Amino acid sequence: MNMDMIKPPAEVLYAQELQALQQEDTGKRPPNWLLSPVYIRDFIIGREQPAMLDGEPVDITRKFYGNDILIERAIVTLAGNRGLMLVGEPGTAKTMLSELLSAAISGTSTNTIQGTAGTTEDMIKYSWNYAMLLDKGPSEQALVPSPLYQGMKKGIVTRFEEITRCPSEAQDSLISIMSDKVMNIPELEGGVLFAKPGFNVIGTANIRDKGVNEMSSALKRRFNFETIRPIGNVKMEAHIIESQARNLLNHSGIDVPVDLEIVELLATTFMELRTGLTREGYKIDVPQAVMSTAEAVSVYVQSAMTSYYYEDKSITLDRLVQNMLGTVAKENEKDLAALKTYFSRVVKERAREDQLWATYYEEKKWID
Amino acid sequence: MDRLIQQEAKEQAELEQLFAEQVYNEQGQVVYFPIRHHSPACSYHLLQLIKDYQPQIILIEGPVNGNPLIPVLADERTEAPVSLYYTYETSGEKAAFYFPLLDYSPEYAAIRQAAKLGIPAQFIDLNYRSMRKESLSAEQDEPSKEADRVSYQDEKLLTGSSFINRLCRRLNCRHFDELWEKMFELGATRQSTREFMYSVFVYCSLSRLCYSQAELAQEGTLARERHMRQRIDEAKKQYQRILVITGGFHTYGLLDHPSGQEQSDENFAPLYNTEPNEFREQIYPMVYTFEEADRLNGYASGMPYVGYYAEIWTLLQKKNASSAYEQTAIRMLSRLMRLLRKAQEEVSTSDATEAYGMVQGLAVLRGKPEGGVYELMDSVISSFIKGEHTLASGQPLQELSRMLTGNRIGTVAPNAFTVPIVDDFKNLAAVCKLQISVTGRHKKVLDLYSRPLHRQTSRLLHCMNFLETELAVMESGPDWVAYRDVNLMRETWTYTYSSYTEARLIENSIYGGTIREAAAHRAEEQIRQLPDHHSEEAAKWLLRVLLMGLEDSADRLFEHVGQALRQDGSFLSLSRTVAILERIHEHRRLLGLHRESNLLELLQEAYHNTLARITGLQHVHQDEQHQVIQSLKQLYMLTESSPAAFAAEPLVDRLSELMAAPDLPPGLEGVCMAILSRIDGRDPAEITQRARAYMQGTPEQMMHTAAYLQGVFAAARDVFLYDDALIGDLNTLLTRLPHEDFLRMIPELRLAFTFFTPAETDRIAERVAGLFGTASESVSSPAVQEEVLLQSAALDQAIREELIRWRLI
Repeated sequence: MNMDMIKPPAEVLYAQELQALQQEDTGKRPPNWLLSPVYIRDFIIGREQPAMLDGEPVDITRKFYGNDILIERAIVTLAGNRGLMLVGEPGTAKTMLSELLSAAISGTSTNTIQGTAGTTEDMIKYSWNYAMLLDKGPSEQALVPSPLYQGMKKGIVTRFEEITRCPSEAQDSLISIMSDKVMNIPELEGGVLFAKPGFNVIGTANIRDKGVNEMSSALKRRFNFETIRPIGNVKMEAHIIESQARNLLNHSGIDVPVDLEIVELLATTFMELRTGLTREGYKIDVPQAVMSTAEAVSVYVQSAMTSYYYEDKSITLDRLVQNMLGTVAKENEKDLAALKTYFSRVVKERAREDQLWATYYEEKKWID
Repeated sequence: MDRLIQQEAKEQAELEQLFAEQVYNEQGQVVYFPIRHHSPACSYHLLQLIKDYQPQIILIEGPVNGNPLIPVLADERTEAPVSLYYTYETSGEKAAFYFPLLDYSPEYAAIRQAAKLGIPAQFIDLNYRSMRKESLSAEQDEPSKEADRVSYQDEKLLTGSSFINRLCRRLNCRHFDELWEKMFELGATRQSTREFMYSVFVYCSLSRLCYSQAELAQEGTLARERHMRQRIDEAKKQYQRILVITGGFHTYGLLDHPSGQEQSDENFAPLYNTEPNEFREQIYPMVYTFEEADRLNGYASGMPYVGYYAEIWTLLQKKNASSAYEQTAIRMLSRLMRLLRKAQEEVSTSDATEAYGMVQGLAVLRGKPEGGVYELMDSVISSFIKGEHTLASGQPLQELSRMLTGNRIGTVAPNAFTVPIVDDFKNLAAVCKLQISVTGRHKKVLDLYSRPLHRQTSRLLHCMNFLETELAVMESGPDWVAYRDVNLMRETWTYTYSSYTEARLIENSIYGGTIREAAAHRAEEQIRQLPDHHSEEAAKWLLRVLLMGLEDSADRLFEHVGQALRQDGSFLSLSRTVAILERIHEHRRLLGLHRESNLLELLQEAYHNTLARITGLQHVHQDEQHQVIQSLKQLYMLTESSPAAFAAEPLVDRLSELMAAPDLPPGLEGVCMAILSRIDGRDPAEITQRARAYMQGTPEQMMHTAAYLQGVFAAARDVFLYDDALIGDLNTLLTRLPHEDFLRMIPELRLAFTFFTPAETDRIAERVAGLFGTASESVSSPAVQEEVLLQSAALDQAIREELIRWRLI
């Protein structure tokens, strides 16, 4: 594994799988795509049968958990005329899915515009190297291409992260490019950039988060929307937390096994606080903070790291609860009350029958 | 592993052999066509097979006792969706089943084709009762909640097998329905009939092999198959070319197996015909609706999205059958666009174009020959829903689902089996112009008093509601029973017709041949169950019966109410009866009564019986006092309204007796006094006198003043308006009353004064002001002006601070 990067991009992380699939794939591909739609689906949701690479079997693992049908729709959308917009609550793996898609389609997931409140039209289309501009006047050499420009030129997928964080006027610069697949560069003589086949845009957007801008309906019309929902199954969520936490810990050079029981406990707590419904069917208060799977992973990793460095142990429940506080109390102090109630109602009840939950309940002392 | 592969190969070889020798052997005496209920592809190939094989008889998996109805189903005037409705009743249980038939149900296609060719078609399966019995033993601990909506075509064995589940996972299908569509419906026209039959047979047989013989026996499958085999054997004696149409799951069980294992079911399956004969069964042809046929709406039968597949079937019968799915997708998308535009949603042709491209792209990705219903739905989700998919933005998908289900209702040709009550309803519905040819919620506003037809419609709907047919709901209008909104002139109803309504009517047919008859008999049955002395309930029934327009029953009911009156010993119940009877009498024209018969006499009897129960009211429970006061007032008003019919003397006598009773609660004393002062000419001063007695009595008596006043004000609040003495006394009382007692009394006193209207309160205020010699405004103004209070408080605070500064406090 490449230890020079904190987080290697999908095409590096799954290079072997992608290569093996490419060797095997004989299906029809849209122009400039590295894989056919069927193989892209298999790459993302995994399959039972391993692919062969130089005579060695390579397992095609499941990388995205959730709605498989959505993946199929997303792939077909990207082969068509419209862009793909992934929306959903924070922490539902939108970014990961967009990375996987672009890695599988174009072989790179780094051709990305990272949207912020400060994003301007220049950053979306192109800007200039002013020294060269002054020296040589407007020319292609003086032009600084944006990821979108690169995508059009090379015929690859451009990712646009957090599109709703950008001001509406900046977002709207996409409108005509998306429909005409042409970018005009009036500064250059004959400056028209026609998009090469294979170009498309995957946007991700939080719709309910604080501080987001509304998308204009003109822009909405140029995208197909896919809503990614939080996972509704404790076992599956536990599985994701486990695999991601293991990856992250390995990457940090921490060699401790992931405790499956604690992962499931964490997944249960997060899911119940997120949905406001316990597995026994009682209603509980929902904190304002985002209780996403990604947050659960970070709570787990934090706790495991603390236990590793300070106590030389694998994860302990007191560290887990301490780290959970940071997640829950992000938005609002009152959220702590929701967590406290959860402990005194739900955890206490389960503590009577389950030793692990009993130990968990003892750690309630940290919530004050 | 090798053994497993060998086993599989052996199974496959066996199935292949069975298929060639027994299932589809044109030279054989019998050809078995395996189907799935409500599958257009099966119907398509079935018709091909009938053309090729030219059978002499067609045997169909369907209830044997439905055989007499086959000519009705085959009649050209019968239009799908229709259903056979079967009910049975034994001493212990009661159940009903549906056997829905759509245009594209293979069973129905076969029946029609047989009629066209002039060959017989017969049902060969056990009748429903036996089926139910068989499977009940397996699920006795969880009796079906909707026992009355059970479908005959239960597919849970086929769809739930582990083979199918594995296959779904392997082929990336979300469930059996998608799998079925992918494997059998899409591209069915490109297969030969033999290929198609073979693959259905293999799929269903492999699915069946996942179950043990014991499991099959428990579900009743084996007993049913044995019955079907017997019927086939009987037919073999008579015909040379027999076509057997059954669910694919059963085909394997009907064949002769070289190993003989399938026949070993003699050990299981208690035989149905050993049952005692004490049951009643009935079977009727009945209309059905798409909404009910769609399994997604909670009815277990066949394929979902019936509206969609009906459209597919129409196209499959035409020349260009091979593009049926493509054409349907285009039609539905453009229809959806029109609908959404009409609903002011923002859609463009480009959305539909994109969606159509998506349908095809998804079909390729999913390895389907064409895009089916699941691709259509996915394409709408992607291309039509803008922004996050929520309830608010999901309208396109909701509209599409409605379209996929469809809203058609079938018709059954006139026949000897129809139930008179159903016909009666349909005739009445036609007269009343009710929409019963399409499903969906319809609205009807009825002008009760000005249009006789509307009155008739209202009565019909009231009857239907009473018969629990779930046809209609009254959204607004006068509610005579609860005595609410009786000033309204119109009734607004919403109604939805479905086979459920028809089924309920059939059940009600034991009460009578027409709606009116059934309603009348049912009402009378329920009234008979009332305890004898519940005159109030009996009177309410009288009212309900009149609302349903059943005056004949009402005549009989008069007698019943009269009897109940004589037996009723409760003053309150009787007085409520009086109230209801009086309501009927007073509004007899609005209620549309033609004959008055002895309504007035009954009311008079009720009045006198109520009077007789006044004696003894002094012991009434405190909680009921308020109601008693109101009832007495109402009796008094009755005498006022028509002195000729309701003589005042007996009331006076009774009230005087009551007044004489020791320990009479003060509230009752008040109301009696007030009434007597009105009709008996007692001196109004006595009211004041008695009030004074309370006010100037012991502290305990003093506390009763308010209750007494409540009684007085209920019937004669004007006393207070002109009698200065009473105001004066009350004033004295209030000034004398210790603060604590005042606080205790104030809620009751306030309640007493709520009887006055604002204008009256003003007049009282004037009198009180007169008592103190000031203007009435000063009475209503607060004791201290807000400004003064604030100033004083500020001053107080300042002094306090000063004192603190000087360390004086």
